Amino acid sequence: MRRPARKGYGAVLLDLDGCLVDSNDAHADAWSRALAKFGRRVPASKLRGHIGKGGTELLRDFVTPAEHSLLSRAMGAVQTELFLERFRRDIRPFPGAAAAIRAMRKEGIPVVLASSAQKEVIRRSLALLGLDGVLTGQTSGEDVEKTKPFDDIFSLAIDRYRLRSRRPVAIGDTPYDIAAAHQIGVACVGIRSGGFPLSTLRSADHVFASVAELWEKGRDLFA
Amino acid sequence: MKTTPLGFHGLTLRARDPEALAGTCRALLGWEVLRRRRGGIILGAGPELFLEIRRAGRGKPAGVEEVHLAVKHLDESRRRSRPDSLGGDSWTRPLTDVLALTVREFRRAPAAKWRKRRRKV
Repeated sequence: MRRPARKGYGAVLLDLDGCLVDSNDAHADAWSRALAKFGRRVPASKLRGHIGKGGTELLRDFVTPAEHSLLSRAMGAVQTELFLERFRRDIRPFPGAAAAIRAMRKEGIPVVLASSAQKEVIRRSLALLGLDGVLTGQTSGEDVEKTKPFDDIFSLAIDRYRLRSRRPVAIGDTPYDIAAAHQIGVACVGIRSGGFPLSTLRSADHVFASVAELWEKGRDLFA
Repeated sequence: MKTTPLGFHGLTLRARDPEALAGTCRALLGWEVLRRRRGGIILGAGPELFLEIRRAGRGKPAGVEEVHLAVKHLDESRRRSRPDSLGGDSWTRPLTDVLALTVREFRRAPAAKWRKRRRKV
């Protein structure tokens, strides 16, 4: 008997930084400057590979347990402030990314932004991309206790927007997106535009150069 | 949001001989001098964990003078807080004639005098 074709992905859990906007280097730089304000000298190059984790998780490798426990929220607030100061100068949308998301929505695919970023960073980024009001919904690092690489953001997005029965797929540019998605049995498309080496994205279910390429060449992955 | 205590992170002591007590504490804890100021020494890593030793003046007994408690979501409806040099918003209230409690939420970077120069990671 012929097996029925597997249904494609019916919903998207979308990462922001490194997928829609070219911002990973700016985040690393802002973390480096923020930590310096707390007396920690960590070059941006050392932080770059940790971008994609939520701030609290990222800091674990760079501060003492006492600093982490008491100062991580303040450090995160300073990082966000410094990042937003240079937002207009440093942050650019990836070509074709917003158009691909609009096309997904036009096809009736729910797209939920599931980012570890802070709400103000998300707001500014969506405005830059012209995606205000286009997405099905969004979750941020402020909505959950544990950020990526934990699954909380994806789990919240699935529950809040009732996506479980639609066979959602995560789209992310870091190994932390892949880990978070796989923890809850969700497939993940790795996107290389965020600058992570291909070797770190090997466990992704599919890999594309960009969100634009995903929609152009991987359209048949979706229902 | 509910105020959640995170932990005591600082202690201010009064001593007749701050230098001697600081020496003892350094030997016991291995802490370094964060900074010195007139009539006192601060030991520790930074605002997140410190021990301040002040000189006990006339009429002021030696002992614990102030305890610092860090919290998440400082409740500002009950007591007016103000920004401090440690990078927090805080309020202080006397608990007894000689002991005060400072409750603080860290919200920003500390002033330069509270930053310990650390080796590059």
